[in-house]
Amino acid sequence: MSNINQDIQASHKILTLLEEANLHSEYILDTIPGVFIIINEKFKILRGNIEFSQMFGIPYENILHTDFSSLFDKEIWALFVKHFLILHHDDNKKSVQFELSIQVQKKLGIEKPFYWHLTKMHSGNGAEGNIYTLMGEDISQLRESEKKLLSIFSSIPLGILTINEKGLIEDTYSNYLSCLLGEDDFDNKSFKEIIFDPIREDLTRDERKGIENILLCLNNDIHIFEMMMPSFPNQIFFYKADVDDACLNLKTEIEKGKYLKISYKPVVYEGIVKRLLIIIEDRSTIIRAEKEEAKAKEIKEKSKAIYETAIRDPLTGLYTRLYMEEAVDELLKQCNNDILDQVSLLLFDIDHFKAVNDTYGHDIGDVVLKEVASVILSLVGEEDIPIRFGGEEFLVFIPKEITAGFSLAEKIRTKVENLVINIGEKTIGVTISGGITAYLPYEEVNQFIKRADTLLYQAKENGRNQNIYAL
Amino acid sequence: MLDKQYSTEQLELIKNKIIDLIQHAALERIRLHSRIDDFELADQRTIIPPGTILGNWMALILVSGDALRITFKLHFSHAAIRKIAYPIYGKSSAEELSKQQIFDFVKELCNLSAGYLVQIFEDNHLHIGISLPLCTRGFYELYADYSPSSYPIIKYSHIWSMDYDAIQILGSAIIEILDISALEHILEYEFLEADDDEMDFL
Repeated sequence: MSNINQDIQASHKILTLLEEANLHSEYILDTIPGVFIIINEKFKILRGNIEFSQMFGIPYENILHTDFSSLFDKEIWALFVKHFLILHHDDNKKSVQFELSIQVQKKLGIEKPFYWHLTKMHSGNGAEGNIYTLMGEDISQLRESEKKLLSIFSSIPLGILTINEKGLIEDTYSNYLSCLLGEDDFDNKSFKEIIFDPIREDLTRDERKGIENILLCLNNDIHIFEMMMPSFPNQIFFYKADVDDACLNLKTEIEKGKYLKISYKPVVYEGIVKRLLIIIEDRSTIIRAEKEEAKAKEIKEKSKAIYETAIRDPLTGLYTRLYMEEAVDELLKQCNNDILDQVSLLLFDIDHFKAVNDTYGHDIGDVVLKEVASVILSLVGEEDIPIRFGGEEFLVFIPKEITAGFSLAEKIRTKVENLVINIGEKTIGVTISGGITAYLPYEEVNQFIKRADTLLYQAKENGRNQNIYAL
Repeated sequence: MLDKQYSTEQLELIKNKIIDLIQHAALERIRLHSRIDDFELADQRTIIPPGTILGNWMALILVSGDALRITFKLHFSHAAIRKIAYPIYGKSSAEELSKQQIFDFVKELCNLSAGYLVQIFEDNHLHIGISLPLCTRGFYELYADYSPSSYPIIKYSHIWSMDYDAIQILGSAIIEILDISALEHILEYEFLEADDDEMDFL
């Protein structure tokens, strides 16, 4: 045996191993999920995997040099060639990806969407020209899921759409959008014209700038989007004036308008904003409800002010008799129902008030009334009900026993006694007398006041500037 | 080494003689191995560009010596081999043949062809050896180097077909002459009648 023969024999083991390895790697290629083929520049298939063979119904043995174009309809093939030529003519491009539906079983007319990766290969010895691998991923299930999702989208009360690099509406994802914007055909229309042009006159300068910024962000770096997004109009009042009726009834159109909240989500590819997903929410009901609520609150506050005017004596700030009927009645009810243990009544009268009026005039009389009322207001508690009963008479209902009532009455009396009321260059002092009593169960309020009034009378009789209490 | 004293005409004669020998060995052995004497050989070199993928599968064997190197390949489809090989394996139909049996059949055919070439060259005092036959996808033909050269190694290729009743098996060979002076005697070599002594090479 020659040396060469010996060498060859020694190589046999390695060759066997290589053959085994080759078989394994070929098995992997054969069973690779999805469609895998190698084609030459004349679109002849040089290699295919099992899934390709099964999908197109071509016996595995017949794949070699099958014309790939024969597997497609004319229109689909034209689309494939378009992508192919992009790769073929661009020396810098290594691969292209695209989506294309194909008829997997022509006889049955079954069409399936595929996502394709077309990649240039080393052309080998050149006999087959340029060589390309084509891997196709069946995305039917993905599309099915999308359809389900879209059916959910289309039924929710949101307008969802995407705009492309030119600011044109590319896809719409909800039926509600038509209802929202009063437009049936969005395809390839300008987003700006559809959404903002009808209300152009109402937009502020900043909002108009924001609209321009939306267009600037497209096909630009994501950072520009992030920087400009705060300027995008995100809350608009949308209405479309009827061209025929524009002047006649703008008010009606505005009433029919919608408060729209607009959100912008970027669709980014390799750091560039390729599309914007725009979600439009009709907030009319919420905003109108908020406005109604605000209006109701305003009315309520006005009513409250009117009511306050009615129940407050404008001179003294004490409650009026009108309020007394309502509030005291409730207080006494609580006492009758044992919710409160005791209610006491303090009835005051300014001593010699007639003389004050007669001497200094009614204006000074009013000042005195105001000053005495201030003392009462400064000493009563939150639960007490101070009332200007009439003229120079004051009532204070307190939800406490009579001793507490007397104590309060004494504090009021003493403080009034010490009052120094300035009237021009002079000062005057006043005193008050009081009758204090406790509520008897189920007693009428008039009766209750009458008993206090009797005690007040006694205090006056006893020389004034004093309080008298009795059950 | 290329000897400058050989004229172009002489060189072509030697090159063609080697092709004849290869084709002869291939045809004789396919007839023998398939037991089908009606296999016919056709020259395909002007029809098929070298390097083209010729079949879904290919089996190859290296015939190599100090003066000569031949990469001998058979390009085939399972269907073609099934049709000619199933009787050999005692099967009643082509479909019964397993893939492994197909591969074994073609690899053995390579082995027989290469063995026959060894015999021919031994008869001409050229010592050559053969490798193990290998089987792989026909796609890899794309990476075979068919580029011709004339110096220092004379390199050329050839493609032929072996046909029988709509069955076609293609053969290709890359021939590298390392020492032409050692090959000049083969011009005188004459083919013997059909050689039945195939057992020598099994």
